[in-house]
Amino acid sequence: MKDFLSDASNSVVVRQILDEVSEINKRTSEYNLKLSEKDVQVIVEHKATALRNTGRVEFGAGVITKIISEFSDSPYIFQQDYVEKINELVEIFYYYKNETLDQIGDDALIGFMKNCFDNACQGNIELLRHKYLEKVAHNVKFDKPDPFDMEEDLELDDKELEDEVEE
Amino acid sequence: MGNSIINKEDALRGKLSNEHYFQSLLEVLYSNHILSNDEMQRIQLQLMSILNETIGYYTKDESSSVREETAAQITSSIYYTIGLSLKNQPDLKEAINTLQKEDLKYLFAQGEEILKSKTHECRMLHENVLRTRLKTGNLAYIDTLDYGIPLFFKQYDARFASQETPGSIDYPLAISREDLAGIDYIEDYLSRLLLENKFCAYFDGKEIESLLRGYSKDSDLLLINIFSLVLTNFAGCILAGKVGNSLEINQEERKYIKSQLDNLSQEAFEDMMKTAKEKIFHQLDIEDKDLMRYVDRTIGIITKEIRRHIERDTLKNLFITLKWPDSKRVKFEDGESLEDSFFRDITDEIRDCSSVEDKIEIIKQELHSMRDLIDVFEADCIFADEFEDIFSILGDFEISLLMKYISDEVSWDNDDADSEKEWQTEFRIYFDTLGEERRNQIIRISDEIEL
Repeated sequence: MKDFLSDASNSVVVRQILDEVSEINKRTSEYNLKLSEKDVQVIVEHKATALRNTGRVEFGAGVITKIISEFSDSPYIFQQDYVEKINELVEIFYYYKNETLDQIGDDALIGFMKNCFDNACQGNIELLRHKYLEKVAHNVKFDKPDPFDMEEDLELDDKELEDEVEE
Repeated sequence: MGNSIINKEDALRGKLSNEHYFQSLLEVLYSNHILSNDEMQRIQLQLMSILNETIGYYTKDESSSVREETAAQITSSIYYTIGLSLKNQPDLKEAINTLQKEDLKYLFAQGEEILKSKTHECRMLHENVLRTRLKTGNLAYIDTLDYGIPLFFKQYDARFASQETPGSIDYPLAISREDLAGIDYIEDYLSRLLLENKFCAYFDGKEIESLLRGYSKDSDLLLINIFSLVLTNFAGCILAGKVGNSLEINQEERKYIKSQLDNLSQEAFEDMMKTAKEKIFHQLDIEDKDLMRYVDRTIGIITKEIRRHIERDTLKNLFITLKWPDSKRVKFEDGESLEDSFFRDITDEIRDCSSVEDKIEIIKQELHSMRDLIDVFEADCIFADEFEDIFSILGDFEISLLMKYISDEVSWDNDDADSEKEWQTEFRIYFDTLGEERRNQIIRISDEIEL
């Protein structure tokens, strides 16, 4: 059976994101951060790949503007790696939507990622992924009352993990 | 455009799927150029909008993305719900007009209303099915009514998975549709089950249970359709010329049916079945048109079965002999047999009698067991024309005993008259002279006797 929805174009999505990004650009100009139309197209294409790789579908602008808006004031994001960082964050966001069994809302997950990224991880995305988000996924799978509880002993201590990330 | 749609309507209808009605309609209309590219684009955008909104409800607006399988399930659900609205149109032409003119959101909302109303109707139907339920030990029947269907209502997700059919529907119908899904399937299933219950209600519940027991000692565990078995046996009773609503059928009647239907042309056979069907409606006084249609269609299936079993000479596997529970069976204990020498004296004495009345008097006075009576029949001391007089002094129970003896010893389906003893041939002739009511009574007693 032909899927009549699969033919829908991404152009509407790009246009919608561009409108919102221009507002964000105005706000982030003080940090010398700016996304061009081409950057947005790259991010939208990367998002499409990330969705495909994680077996997910999204309608409308989705979380891209939310992630851009949330992370644009991070002290660990600079103009030269702005697009790359956003792409990585989008990728691990969808990955952990699956790993947390869709039990955590977009805003809560993005908020947690931003907080860890700026503080505990100091801009290290690998640390964010392998330590903190992995712990959240573990908490959800083991039905812990608070999925964001980081108090319990982690299987790997910080030192080991940092060594692993550096390697 | 309007006329071409009308002309093509019949051709298009054949290509539509009942289960995937909306998708098949879109495909058919697009490939036949009835829907233009612009119209298809409009439909796609409206579907996207409905999907977006529904996924928002699904995630409680907390997630803008979902897993592909979730999206596929919700998309199918939306297609199904819109399909209900389109199927609800008076005809295909109207469905196409509606699809071209109306906003899909309106059709979706209308479909959701139909879903609500159908779910309510199905609950009522289920209550009716429970009210008319058969008193049976068949587990699939009990389980489907008490567990499977309620589970459907408990698990059916009209909003996000309207196309699915949860629950556990194991009990097989006489005629079921496999091209339906979701609430349509349950509605159809319950409607048919209700008709089956209504038909079975014309018969004695204990007879139905005995019929199932006759079908198999494990009938409670089998996936069998009770209505089909009841209708088949009753059709057999009608073909055997019986009146009333009993499901009892025996070897003699099966033999009669075979003699009536064997070697008939296909046309004559179908005429015979058509007449039998009319008699079923008449004898049971059935006026419910839906029930008549359902019985009619099932008779169509049974007709083929009867034909097949007649050709293979296996009617006993189709027209089942009822098996009553042991408590209802009569255990026959024969009287004491005579000593061999005394028995010889008796048979000599009978042989010497010049009148049948004298022979009857000796039999009455001297014989006290069924075994001895049969031995006398087989001792060449009674002439063929005397048997009728002797049988006529026997009561229903004795006649039933003789019948039981014959049916246990000799196959009634056996056409080889040479292998039959003289008294047995005479017994059959005598039995056929009895009135129908008495014959049925004797058959009933005979079935209940255990030698």
